[in-house]
Amino acid sequence: MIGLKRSDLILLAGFIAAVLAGPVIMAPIALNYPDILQKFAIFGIFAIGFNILFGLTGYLSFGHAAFLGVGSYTAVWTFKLFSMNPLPAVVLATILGGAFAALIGFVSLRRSGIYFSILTLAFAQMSYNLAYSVLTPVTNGETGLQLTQADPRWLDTAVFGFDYGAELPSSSLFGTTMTGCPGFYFCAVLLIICFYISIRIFRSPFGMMLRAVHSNQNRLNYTGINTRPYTLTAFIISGMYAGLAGGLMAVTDPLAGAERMQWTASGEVVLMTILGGTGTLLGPILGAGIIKGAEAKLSQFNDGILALSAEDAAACHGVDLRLVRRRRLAPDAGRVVHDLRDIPAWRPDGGRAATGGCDPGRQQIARPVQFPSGGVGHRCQSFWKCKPSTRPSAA
Amino acid sequence: MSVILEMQAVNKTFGGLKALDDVNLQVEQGNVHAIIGPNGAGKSTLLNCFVGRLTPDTGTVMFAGRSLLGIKPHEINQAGVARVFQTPEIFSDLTLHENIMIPTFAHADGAFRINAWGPIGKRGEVIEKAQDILQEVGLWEKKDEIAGSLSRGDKRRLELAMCLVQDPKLLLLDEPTAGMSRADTNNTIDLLKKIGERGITKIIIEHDMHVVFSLAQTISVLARGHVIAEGPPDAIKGDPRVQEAYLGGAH
Repeated sequence: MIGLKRSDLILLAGFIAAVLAGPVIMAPIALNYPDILQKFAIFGIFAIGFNILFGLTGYLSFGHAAFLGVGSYTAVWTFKLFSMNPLPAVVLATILGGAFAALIGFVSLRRSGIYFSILTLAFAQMSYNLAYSVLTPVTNGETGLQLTQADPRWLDTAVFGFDYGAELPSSSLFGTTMTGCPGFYFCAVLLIICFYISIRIFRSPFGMMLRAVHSNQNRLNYTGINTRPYTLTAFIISGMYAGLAGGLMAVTDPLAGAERMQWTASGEVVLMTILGGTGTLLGPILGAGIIKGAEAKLSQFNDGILALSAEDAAACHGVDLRLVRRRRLAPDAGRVVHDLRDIPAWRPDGGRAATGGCDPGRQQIARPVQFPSGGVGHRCQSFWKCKPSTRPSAA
Repeated sequence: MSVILEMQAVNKTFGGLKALDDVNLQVEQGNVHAIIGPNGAGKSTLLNCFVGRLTPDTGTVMFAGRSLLGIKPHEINQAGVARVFQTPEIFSDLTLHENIMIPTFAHADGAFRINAWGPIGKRGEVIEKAQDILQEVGLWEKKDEIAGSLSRGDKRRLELAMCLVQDPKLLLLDEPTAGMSRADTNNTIDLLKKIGERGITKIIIEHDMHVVFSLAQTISVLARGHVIAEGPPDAIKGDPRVQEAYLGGAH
């Protein structure tokens, strides 16, 4: 059935069940809030795609974050120009991720081994720096690309006559907002499709040729196989997966910043794939889950001292409280809110007033802020200094 | 009989060394042609000129009416030339079955085809062909083993099977028994004789005279880049120039 052997069919069925039941399965370890589940699914897709290149052909790319970033920027631009529906955004993100991979792969695949890794790393860092500075008109530089009320959203307004009014829209699939649980299930369905495609590739003659590239490229050439188009195709496919993952990041949170292209993000996916098991079907997804799960868990240690609740941080930084509440961020997402403080769209006054409350040199005389949770804190530049000066009551 | 491979006036120098000096060679269709000669005579250089690894400085190499100069190894293979290496080149971390499937697919689907969607199991004709050849060389029982774990003799068998499954017009064998025990050598000779019945033209480069004289129909003797003698085995055995080249009378 559907072109799979019995054993693969069982694997796929088990996978679908596990993904759809994700919120229940993750409940005992308290990693069942939509934010982290979305992350699992998105980085799962990223790692599956990376594994098609690295796991099968053995070509270790150190620049896949570039395609992730391209996917994010594409998705945000699709939201701005065409429609808040996530479908065109993810489709375009996938296509552009693939196109960008074709360019970089065409040049990088002339070398193999460490030289290939260095080339991809160089191209990705180049993309990062371009996005950060030179391409500011497209990427909005260090502030990051975001939605504004003045966006045309041509398909929504002109074709479907939808009026978003004064509110800043979030992406919605035919009326279902792509945040929280619906956002997770949107990602989950795509994760399942991606996993299915990856099984088909692994079991196909094409997948076998890719493994042969890994094993003995010399023999493969003398066997009548032109290896370059095979490796390039694998590179493009994994670039498309990365583009899709980047697009989904923008769907669940319509922001795109250059840091998504930085080499640390490329290193992360290498780590996920190796941790889970290179060249295995499920491994990369497990690796992604373990790393993202551990990241969330470990950052929760001592959060009473170090972290603020999202709402307290919003008050502290003058970020629009209504926006924070609407996004249903995790309870301890103060750090996220802190990162949003410089983005004008997140501020009630549209960013006209100066950000922060105090400058770093004059922290002591900053105006105290009443926290929604009851404590009193000070506005300041550094997140870590933003802790309440009096601990809120147990509420 | 018609000529399938023809080299004319081929020269190749490496720095100051003249590896091939005005070599002319004709291999007839269906023949088993051995190339022998002492170390450094230019045998491997000659072979590398057939498969596109080296390009001669001057001269022509024609295979079945087509020039082999300047085209890539995979194109030469697709034209019908298969090669067995001195040390077996196989896909060591794949199973035997996969090892044999890869050349079968390369033969059926060409140098590049994205068939990422059709499962391998659906290609009945390819699987049957691979199965037949594995049975013929006596490796079918080991088909699920990893190729890297085979003995040297079995690796050679596998490599031969990988070439044969492509139905090549010309098979190049570079020292097919190098480093083998006498028993393995005799097994390989038997196997090569058996596949000789298919009528594939073969070029064998070999040091072991036992192998050469049990298989070859024509022998060319190469010394210091020249073809110094050519003919049927009996004529070569008695040729004084050959004895001189091997025993080093002129040094």
